Amino acid sequence: MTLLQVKNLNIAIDTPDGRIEIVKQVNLSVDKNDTLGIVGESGCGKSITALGIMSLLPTHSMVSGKILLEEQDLLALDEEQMCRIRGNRIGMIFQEPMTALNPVQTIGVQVAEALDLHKQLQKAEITSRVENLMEKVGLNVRRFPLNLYPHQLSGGQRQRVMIAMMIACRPDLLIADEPTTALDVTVQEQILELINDLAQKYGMALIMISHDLGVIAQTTKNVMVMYAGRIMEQGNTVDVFYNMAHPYTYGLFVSIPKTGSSRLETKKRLKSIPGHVPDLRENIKGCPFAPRCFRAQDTCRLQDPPPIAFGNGHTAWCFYPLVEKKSNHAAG
Amino acid sequence: MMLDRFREILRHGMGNRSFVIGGLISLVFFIIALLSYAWTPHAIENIDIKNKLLEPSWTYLLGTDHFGRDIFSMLIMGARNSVIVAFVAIGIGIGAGVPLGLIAAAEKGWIDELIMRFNDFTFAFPSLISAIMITAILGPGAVNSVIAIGIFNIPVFARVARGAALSIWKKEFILAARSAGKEKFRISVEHVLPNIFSILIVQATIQFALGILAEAGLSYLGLGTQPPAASWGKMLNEAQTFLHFAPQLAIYPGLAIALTVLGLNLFGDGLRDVLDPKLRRIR
Repeated sequence: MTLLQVKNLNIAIDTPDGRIEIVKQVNLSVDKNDTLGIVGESGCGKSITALGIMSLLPTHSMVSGKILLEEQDLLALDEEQMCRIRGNRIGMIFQEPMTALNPVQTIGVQVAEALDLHKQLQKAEITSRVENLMEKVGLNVRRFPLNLYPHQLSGGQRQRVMIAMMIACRPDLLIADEPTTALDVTVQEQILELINDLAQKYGMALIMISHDLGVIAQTTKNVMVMYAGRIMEQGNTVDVFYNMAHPYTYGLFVSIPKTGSSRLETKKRLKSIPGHVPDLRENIKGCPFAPRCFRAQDTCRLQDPPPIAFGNGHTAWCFYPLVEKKSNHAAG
Repeated sequence: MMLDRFREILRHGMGNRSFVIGGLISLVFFIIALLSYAWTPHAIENIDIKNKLLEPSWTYLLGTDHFGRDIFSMLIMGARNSVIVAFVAIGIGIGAGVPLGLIAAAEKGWIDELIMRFNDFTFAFPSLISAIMITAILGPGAVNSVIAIGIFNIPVFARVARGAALSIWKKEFILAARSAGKEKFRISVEHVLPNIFSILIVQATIQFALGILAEAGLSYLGLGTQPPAASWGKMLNEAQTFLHFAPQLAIYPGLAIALTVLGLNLFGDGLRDVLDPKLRRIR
């Protein structure tokens, strides 16, 4: 059953240099208990899409399209109604655990925040639930009493507190915006596992935003590759990773450093995608990736690429995909 | 927790010269002001022309003025007067200014514009002149001068609160709190305010000194505290006539004002350094 459906989402911000279209024509859907990964370089609109779903964009941004949470259009809600959805039905975990907790409040108070806001509970009931949550995220209450302050915890521990805070009301959907980027690799593993376990246990759908393909491969069933605010390729994670169709997805893949490949056997340099993410202030014609693409032809620079389906919902927006298309019917 | 924090501030403050000196002067000033409730050597309402303009003696520690009133007692009562005026004025400034600043930072857009442009408007008038204008309209008196000084504290606190709050609103924990479903009002009160508290405290000590100065100025002009109540500014005013043959009448209240304002400003400066860990390390 579809939990979240985003239809033709456009997000633009007016700046002194003119209007910037940060997100353009994004469609996505997440089923209950489903996991969706959003990948892309920095500045390609991943986080903005997530903030758009939460209605937490800067006040002067313009949003159009539809964001349906079980038939209810979130864009039509006012701030007050939206406050009842945030933290209650949709939770969000942020990238920087060092700054995502209020330095002057105890962790107990912060974890209790969502419960306090959305559920009518007695004080004692809230405390026992908070203690329970802390155990669930792997922070033993005896070692980590609720009256600790964030600066007394490490990054990984703070991220656990953040997770506890966001799953407190057992939301239907959990958005994790690069939850492990600021953590070191060993902790990263534990946090990902924790998020996945909790999502499964509580039946929460998960949107995992990352620039790390490894994280996406490990945690998600479906994936969406974004570039310059547009979807480049989407589909089942296995399909996309084994039969990548879009040159951009391929570029992301070959940019991953592999162990042993660079030192002795071959003196190959780490591959990267040439060029940089386009300046969105400039009017982009055709495929935004064309200037950096090794397969780009003149058509790419002039026309918007059509969606090309490869079966099983695997779609790429490209004139010259890397794999043969299965049928001529374009599917959205 | 509060006590621990207090102790920590004291511990760091001990290494800061302006915090210690300014704190001591301010402390003495507050103790003297409090003392007036329990005891003054003489009642200041007692006019005793026979003993006018006496030299300092054991009965009259700093001598007497032209009405034969004890100058020392008047200074003590003046300290109390200054404290009350400055406290209430700052209360008005914080009570109205901080909420305005918080609202401006939280709402942004036209509400922010409206509040800040109104602030600019009040800022455009020199505060003492505006205070004179307000007391001229409302009539002279201690209460009206407090209101006048208070009104001109509002934009100061609004501006400081807004600036500090804006920087807090950019922090990720605010986004996290919003993701938890907290509305702007509660975020302002529960997350923003505690984080800008130290900045407001420092501003309050500085405004306190300015408040004392403004009260003295208004009373000097005869617009503030009215007789028989004592005020340092009024003492200065009355001393003018006798400046040639009894300059001590002007020197004592003048010294009291200068010392208190100096002490409070030093304390404010020191407190800012102590509360800001970044500045603390440099020293």
